[in-house]
Amino acid sequence: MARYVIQRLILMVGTLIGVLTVTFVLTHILPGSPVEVMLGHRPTPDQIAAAKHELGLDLPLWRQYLRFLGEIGRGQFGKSFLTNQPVLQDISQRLMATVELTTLAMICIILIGVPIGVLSAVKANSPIDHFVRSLSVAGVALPAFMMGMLLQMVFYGWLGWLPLQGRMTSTVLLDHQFPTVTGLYLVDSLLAHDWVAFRDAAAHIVLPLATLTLANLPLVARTTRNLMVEALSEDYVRTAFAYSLPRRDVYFRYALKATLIPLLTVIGLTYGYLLGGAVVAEYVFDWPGIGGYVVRAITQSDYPAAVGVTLFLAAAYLTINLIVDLLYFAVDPRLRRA
Amino acid sequence: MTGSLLEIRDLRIEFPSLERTVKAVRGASLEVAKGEVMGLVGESGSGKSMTALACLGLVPPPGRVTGSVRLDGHEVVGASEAENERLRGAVAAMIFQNPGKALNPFFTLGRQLTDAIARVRVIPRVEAEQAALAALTEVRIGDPKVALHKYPHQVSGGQLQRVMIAMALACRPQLVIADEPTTALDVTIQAQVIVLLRDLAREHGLTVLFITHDLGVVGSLCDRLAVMYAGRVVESGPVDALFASPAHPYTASLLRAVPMLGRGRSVLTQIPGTVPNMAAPPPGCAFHPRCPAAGPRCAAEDPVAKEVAGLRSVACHYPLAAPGAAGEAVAVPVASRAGS
Amino acid sequence: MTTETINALLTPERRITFLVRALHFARMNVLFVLGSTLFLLIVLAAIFAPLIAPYDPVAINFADKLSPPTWQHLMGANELGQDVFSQVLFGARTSLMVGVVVISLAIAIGVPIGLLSGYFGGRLDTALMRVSDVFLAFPPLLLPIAITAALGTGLFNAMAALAVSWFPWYSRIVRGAVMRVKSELYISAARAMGVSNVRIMLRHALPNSLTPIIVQGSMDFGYAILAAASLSFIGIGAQPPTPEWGLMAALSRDRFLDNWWTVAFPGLAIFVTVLAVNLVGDGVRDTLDPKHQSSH
Repeated sequence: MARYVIQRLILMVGTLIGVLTVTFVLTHILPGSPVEVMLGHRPTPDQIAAAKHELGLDLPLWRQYLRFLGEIGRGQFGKSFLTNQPVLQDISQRLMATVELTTLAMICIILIGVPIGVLSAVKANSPIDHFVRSLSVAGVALPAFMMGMLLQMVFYGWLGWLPLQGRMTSTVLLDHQFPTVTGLYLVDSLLAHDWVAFRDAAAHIVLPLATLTLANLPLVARTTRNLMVEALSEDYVRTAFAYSLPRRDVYFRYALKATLIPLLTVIGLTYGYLLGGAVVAEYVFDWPGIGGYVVRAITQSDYPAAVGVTLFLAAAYLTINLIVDLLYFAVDPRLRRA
Repeated sequence: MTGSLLEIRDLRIEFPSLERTVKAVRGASLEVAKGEVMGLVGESGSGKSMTALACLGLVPPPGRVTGSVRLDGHEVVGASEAENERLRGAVAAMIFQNPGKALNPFFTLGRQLTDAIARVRVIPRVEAEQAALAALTEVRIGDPKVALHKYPHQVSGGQLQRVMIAMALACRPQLVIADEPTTALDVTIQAQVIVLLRDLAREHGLTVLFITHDLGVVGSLCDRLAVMYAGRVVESGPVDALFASPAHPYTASLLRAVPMLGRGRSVLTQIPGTVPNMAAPPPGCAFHPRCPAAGPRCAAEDPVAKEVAGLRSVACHYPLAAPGAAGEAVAVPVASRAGS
Repeated sequence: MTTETINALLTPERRITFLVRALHFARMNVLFVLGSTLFLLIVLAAIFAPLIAPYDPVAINFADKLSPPTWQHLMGANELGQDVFSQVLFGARTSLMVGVVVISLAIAIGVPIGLLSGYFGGRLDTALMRVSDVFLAFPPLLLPIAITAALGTGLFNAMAALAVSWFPWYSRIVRGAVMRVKSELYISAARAMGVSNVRIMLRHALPNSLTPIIVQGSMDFGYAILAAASLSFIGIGAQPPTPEWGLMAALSRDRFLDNWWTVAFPGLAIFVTVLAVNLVGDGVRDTLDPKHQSSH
């Protein structure tokens, strides 16, 4: 097993180098020189040349690449041109905002989607099943940004129950400064017993959370349903019923375990969609996370930032996939070598 | 009839769908008395597995069951799920055909056994574990303690079937329904499992309904026999009597079709034609297109089972020579002599 | 054909049987029929947009600025006075084109790679698969964003970016099919007879992968439209004045709370189109591959 993990990790490093290369190439085709952006107003040719030299931009491309690889290898992701802070620092500041949103979304998706899928499968071909399946098909067709804006329109525009965007109301944030422990506002405000801040943070997270959840729920529910239908038709489910095992046990222990492997795959995939969807959701709700950061970095030629974040996200995604693959071993005894 | 542990009367099982309705069982009747080993024989598609499932209310949707199935006096057809749950495992336990598929690959054998036993006998898990161990020992599994922690894929087919038998036994049922338990096994293992079943049945005074398409197995194991064709029981009676002088042409054809070793050469006679389409069975007697003894009434009228001397029943307009009378001597399959 | 023959062919029984069978099919596959009808309508709307649209989609008319839906402007007007309905109609052209182009490109790139990879195996296969892994390592949307940004914003670049991000799915499908076919006996026979590798690949391996490719493609069609709209929404895809639904939503975003029609109708258009495409795709998949073996 250990050997498998090591093999996978080596593969991962290789893939990440590939990701790095691709991102490097892409950002160097970027129109617009990053130098102008950095130097701001009307730099003189000398200033430009000096800046370029400092950044190593006047070296031939392949040498830049090697230098770049070396720096990344040493953990130096460079400084963002836009914020003038180390990229890693930028990431850490904005990371937790995205983590808070995507993790909560993942939890909601699993807690809601899986039981719905099981229910749908157990009552296959009943009106409930048809309803769930219709919703799933419809849900996939609505783009995330539309869903977000719709929610904004209803809950902010018409009902006025929830805020429009952002992570917290700026006035509240100023008056209620709570110490950063995890970077997750919900957790930190609770730890500081700051109920006002908590309520504000919670109110702000509802809509983006709902958007991400609703956007990805259909896939999980539908997959669970289809997998469960298959699992329920297996002989061993019939054996369980033949020995009078209670229904709930049969569904949620015996049958569900059979669905776990493909389901885990879909969950891993969904996490990827969440990371990607977070980009759109963060844009719609002005959520100060990595998604917005990377879009800005890419469109404004802030290539250390762009490369750094892309690499980071790719690494996260690959790690999730690795964890999912490792979970297979835990779930399916047939995969373990005795 | 009192004394019958299992009483099936005019059982009908249909699978309606948008295009057509498949009638898997079309009025089967059969009785199993306490203590006897009853064989249920038929080709694939004859409805025997469905009949077995109906005994425990396990016919899968969209199956529709009508008629009567009485297990130890309790009516199963139309009963609520809760009522049937009380019967499952406790009154009658089932052994399924393909143990590799009938056991959950994600849980250990011990876990599955314990779950079933604890649930059926309503005893605490610790006791159930002990019972599981005892049962495994009884079915002569190699190293029962180790077996408890194994997963199905780590164990051979024959062993798995023993585990299934153990599960059935440990629940202390009155009736064991074995649905083709040896079909998926090697021939050599088959014999072992059959011997095991026979011994255990005798030891525990179990009533057994043994479903198979293999006449040889029936010969060595069963006291009585029922023959199914196209969803109905066409003949039933004591095994020896049936083998010696079958009354229904189908039974006779089946016996002729069994290859035999022994004196002289025997011709393997096939039954011409194929099993009927259960969505549209032939009118009258379903066997008549293939029946060597078909007569004028057969295409028009569906024969009703009639009682015949010697606790036998036949559903045929022109049954073969009565038992005892001189008639076509049918050699008894070799297997019935084995393992006595 | 004489009238008698025609009349004989169209006997009442025949007409009834045809109708009965058609209705039966429709009843069994309600969703598919619904989706196909919808899709057909959308295609027609796209084709005949210039004829149906009451206004030129880019025509600016400040007099009608932000007009809510009226008979004059069936779907209202945006802040430049442009007719939303006309824009939506022309947007259909854009989106349908996006679906077709992205899928075709992805297939055009993925299939040859898959063929080569599966057929020749060995190091070429490993190398190509590692490259695919890199593409699949990017969380969805991130790579298209990066590529589009690198190539420059614009719908065509966005489409190319999407195709390049998605081709690995298709190369995997083809590779799998090729590998399965490769071990068949008739391939060795063909090779022994001297048939060239290329012919073998094209004549035997390719047809085997056709079904899963069609299934995957029919499902990706909708995703392509969604992804392109999302890219346009965040400013990376289509640029004004291209009529694109996502772009429309982006441009009217600031005012949509009071002028819901500027964003709701393009959004609805996306929804309906993707829904129709997905229903058709589901039907295609159910017919060709009842075991649901594709990736989504």
